[in-house]
Amino acid sequence: MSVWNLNTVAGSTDREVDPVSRIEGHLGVKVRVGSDGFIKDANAHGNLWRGFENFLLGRGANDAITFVQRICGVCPVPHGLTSTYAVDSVLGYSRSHITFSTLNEAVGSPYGIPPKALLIRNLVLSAEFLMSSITHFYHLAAPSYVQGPNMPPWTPYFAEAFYNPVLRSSFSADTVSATAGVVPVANTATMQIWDAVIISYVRALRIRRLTFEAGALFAGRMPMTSCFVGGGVTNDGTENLTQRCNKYEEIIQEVGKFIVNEYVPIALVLGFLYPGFDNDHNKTRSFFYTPGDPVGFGAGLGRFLVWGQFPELNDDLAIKGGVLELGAPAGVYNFTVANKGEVISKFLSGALSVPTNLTEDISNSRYVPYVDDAAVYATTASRPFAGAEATYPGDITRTKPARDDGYSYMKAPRWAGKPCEVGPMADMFVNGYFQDGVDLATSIPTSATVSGYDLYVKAGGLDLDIIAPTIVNGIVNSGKFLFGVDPVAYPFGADGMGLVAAIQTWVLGIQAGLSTMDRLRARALQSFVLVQRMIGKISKSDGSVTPLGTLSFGSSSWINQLKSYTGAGVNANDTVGSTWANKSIPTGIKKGWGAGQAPRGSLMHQITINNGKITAYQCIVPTTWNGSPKDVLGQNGAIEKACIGAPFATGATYTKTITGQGGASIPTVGGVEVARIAQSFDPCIACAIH
Amino acid sequence: MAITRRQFVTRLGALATAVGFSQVEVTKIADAFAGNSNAYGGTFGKPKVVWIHGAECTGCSTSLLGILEDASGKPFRYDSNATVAGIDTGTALGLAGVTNALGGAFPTLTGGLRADGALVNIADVVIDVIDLQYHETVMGPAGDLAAKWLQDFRDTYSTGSNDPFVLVIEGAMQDARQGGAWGNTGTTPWCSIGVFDDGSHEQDMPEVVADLAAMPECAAILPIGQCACYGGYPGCKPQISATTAKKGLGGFDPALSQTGAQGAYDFLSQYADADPLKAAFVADVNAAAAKVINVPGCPTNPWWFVLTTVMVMLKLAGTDLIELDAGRRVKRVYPGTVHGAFCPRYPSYTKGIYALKPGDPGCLQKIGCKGITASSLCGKHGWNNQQPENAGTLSGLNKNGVGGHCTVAGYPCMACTEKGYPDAFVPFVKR
Repeated sequence: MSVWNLNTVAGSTDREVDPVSRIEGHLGVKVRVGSDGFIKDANAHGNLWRGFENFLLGRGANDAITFVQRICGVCPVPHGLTSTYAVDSVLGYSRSHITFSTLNEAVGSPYGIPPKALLIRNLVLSAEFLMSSITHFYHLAAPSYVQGPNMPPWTPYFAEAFYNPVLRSSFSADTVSATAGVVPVANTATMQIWDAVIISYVRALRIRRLTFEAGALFAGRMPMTSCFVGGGVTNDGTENLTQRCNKYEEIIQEVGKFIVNEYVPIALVLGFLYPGFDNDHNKTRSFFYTPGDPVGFGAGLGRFLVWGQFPELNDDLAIKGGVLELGAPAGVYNFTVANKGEVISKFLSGALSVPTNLTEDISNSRYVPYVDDAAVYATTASRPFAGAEATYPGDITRTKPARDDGYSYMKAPRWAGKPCEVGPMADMFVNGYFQDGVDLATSIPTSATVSGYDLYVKAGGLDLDIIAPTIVNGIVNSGKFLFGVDPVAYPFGADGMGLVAAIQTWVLGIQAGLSTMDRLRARALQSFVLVQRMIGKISKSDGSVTPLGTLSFGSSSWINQLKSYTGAGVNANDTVGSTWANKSIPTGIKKGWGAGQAPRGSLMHQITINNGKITAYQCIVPTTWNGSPKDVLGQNGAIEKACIGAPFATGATYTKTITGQGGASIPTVGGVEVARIAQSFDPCIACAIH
Repeated sequence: MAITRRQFVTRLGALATAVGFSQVEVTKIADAFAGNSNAYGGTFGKPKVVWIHGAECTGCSTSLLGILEDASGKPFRYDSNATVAGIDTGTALGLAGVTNALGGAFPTLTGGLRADGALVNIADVVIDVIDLQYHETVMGPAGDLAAKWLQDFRDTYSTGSNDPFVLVIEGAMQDARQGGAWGNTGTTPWCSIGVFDDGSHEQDMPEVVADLAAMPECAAILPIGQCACYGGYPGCKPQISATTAKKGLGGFDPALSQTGAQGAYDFLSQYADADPLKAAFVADVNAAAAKVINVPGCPTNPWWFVLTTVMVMLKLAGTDLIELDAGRRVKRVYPGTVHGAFCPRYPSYTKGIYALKPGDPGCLQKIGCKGITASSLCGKHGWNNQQPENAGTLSGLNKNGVGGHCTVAGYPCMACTEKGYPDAFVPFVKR
């Protein structure tokens, strides 16, 4: 049984939300609810342990790349690539991302990763990013805000009161859809926003599939890739890649249009419908906000950590690394790492460095220190890798399972002693695309290679021509239905266009902050920025054109860079055209680590080898940060912290007959708030525990 | 967009043809569905499915989400004549002008099902083909709503005569009673599903599987992926000696897996309980092992799963054409080896051209390819709806193929469909 660690609160009640579904893996959150109905403390618990770090022992370094992809089938690519960075590092290659190692060759050495391989790695991983973010929004997170079709697996619903009225299936324009358990079938002039969202849900299934098909052009297959190897990629270095590049571009252009036309607009509008889950800056412009209501559920820690990702050919990072605690002075809680040089000068050594600041705590986890390291643990419970091996955190793997200790199989990584949030919201804050209380229109600017938020603006207003007609129709009709009947109270006009104008104002004025909605928006906007690095800057023709086909793509992108390497090259070391640099496996004990960004946040793999065989392997995974239990100081992990302050609607008892199950019924209480907050982190528990 | 029984039968027949059924057999399939057979309960003849996650990575579910098939069994491929939009809308198949799932004419993109049932994607499967009752990664409910559904299903569903359901298992069984390589590490489950709001009823995943499998209503058990079939990664062992293990990690036995993880057949057939009052239940669980039909892969290709599912559905409707191999896989779904005329690098093999390091052209046998060992349709029906261009011809070093297969990307086959994977097949890449 679990040993909980919840603060004492007078008059409180404990509640469990387990399983937190529509995530990867087995997660529960136990919350302590005060007499006022708000959550006072939380214990997030991961419920599955498999032991990856142990069964990697004794294997060839390169096989780790394939093994660790099985840590998680939803995000295998980042594990595979981060492991590849680690293997690059331990074998002595350079020019990969964050390959911290004394063996690391200088940039420009013969053992640099070939540019063609670097680009293929970026293109495979970025396809996975788009897949992950789109899947998360539509298929994992959205059903907590939008009732799905009225049939299993989307039923039973939470209590009606938990859904915005326009996002209930009973609100469909299509009465068949509402009652018979089928999805809407037409983009009719009368469709409601619910119909539009469900149609997008189905479309998004296709779009996420396309991202896999694009990635598989280079990876062989998805979700588990088959092309990464220490020193490059396995793809035939003599192959002419023109056809693959063209097909990749064609596929991702479809995906990019979906992101611009549908994904970003719906992700932006959702905050309008759920002001409680949005940040404090945005509340007053939502018609669903009642003055005095609490907002900002799920705000979390306000402290972010990013390793950075996507090395460019000039050694800049497309996603910068760094740490940011909102309001902190420059220093260990506020700095950025923009390129390879800064990776070496900041993350690798000195006061800001990873060896100095990264620890992993197990005081509330289901582990005990491994016996031979007892002396090391005795120095401080939060620094198990201290001592002789301090510069190589690879040795924190030395724990063993103790199932009746603590409350979670997750460990608790900390940066300079403090918990951090990782993930797209962290990426956006550290990269300056999100600034607390600043309009997105200001903080996401248009640059030479990437169009910013102003792509959505036309003549000072929101450009409806760039938004899918299903969504615009839905908003207009739902506006009429909801508010047209009372034009005095809601001055939108009987034609519903008033609501559109209100939403236009809302979208243009959105400010970044700390909330559940900010996490959802961060994924959408990160996808918007990233897809432009993949296939080119997105621009629109002019206001006279119709959507879905009006967007064009620029020529500065990874795919275009790769096209310049498509001639049949000689398969030699770091020569233009090759995909792999040959280097023999070093003898003796070597240590290295790789780090980068996954769609769920900052990921690090650490490896030690002896004559090429693994003697230690350690992963510090995004959800290990976000889902971490309390540490020895009692500091909550990011999900735990985000739940605190949110309501737990105990009054909403709900009974639902289970379809086809002989009339049995399930009396339930709430938990949807906790589910929404936890899901906004896109937790991956298989990753976090591995 | 619910489909009619006739459309459903047509589609099943087409899929069955694709795996090599004879016309006579396809007719049997049609007969089985032609009457008002209520073999599946539910609406539109959809079988109920309960999908349970154990020690897994959700990779097989993720893979299944990527399905896009022509129900006539023709593999799609991307080439200059078939645009992305064209494939999804049917124009590439010469099917333009047919009303699409959203009621419009092609080429409006919908992600939905064609009215005549030529295309199958995951939305069709979940909405039209099966009645997916429980699947933690896609279902709407969370928390108590989900946990109590599962608890109720365990406790009350079985009456001995209720509608049949299919149990799909993704991930290995890690029995809480097993300490694995570590010996006694406690009693808390290695993997639990759902705790009630009042803190009670932590459900041990393997116990959930045992309960569901033993129900007479459980018509078939489909473990999807290596872990659920044979233990897979959670069941593998470090490649180190006992001395090294005890020195380096506080003493674990490297001859055992970390948690004692098992595949479904082994778990069910070896299930035991010292309590004599549970003897009848144990016997039911042991007997349930016979319902297991494995669908291995790492991950499992959606095509293999759909083909196996179709054959199970036929069996439930009275037409049993399933023949299992030694690994309890359907033989027709895992027919020949990856090595052979359908491997895109086979022409190199016939010419004696071998890759000697990563990134080389040529046959991959010398850098670790296990294609000779692996039974799989990979070469014939590629991944992610892309087909190796070679297509069984020996017409030279054709490099125009664009994907769909590990060896296409230069990665040696790992034999991920075989029992014993991964330990029996490492190292994957020799360099």
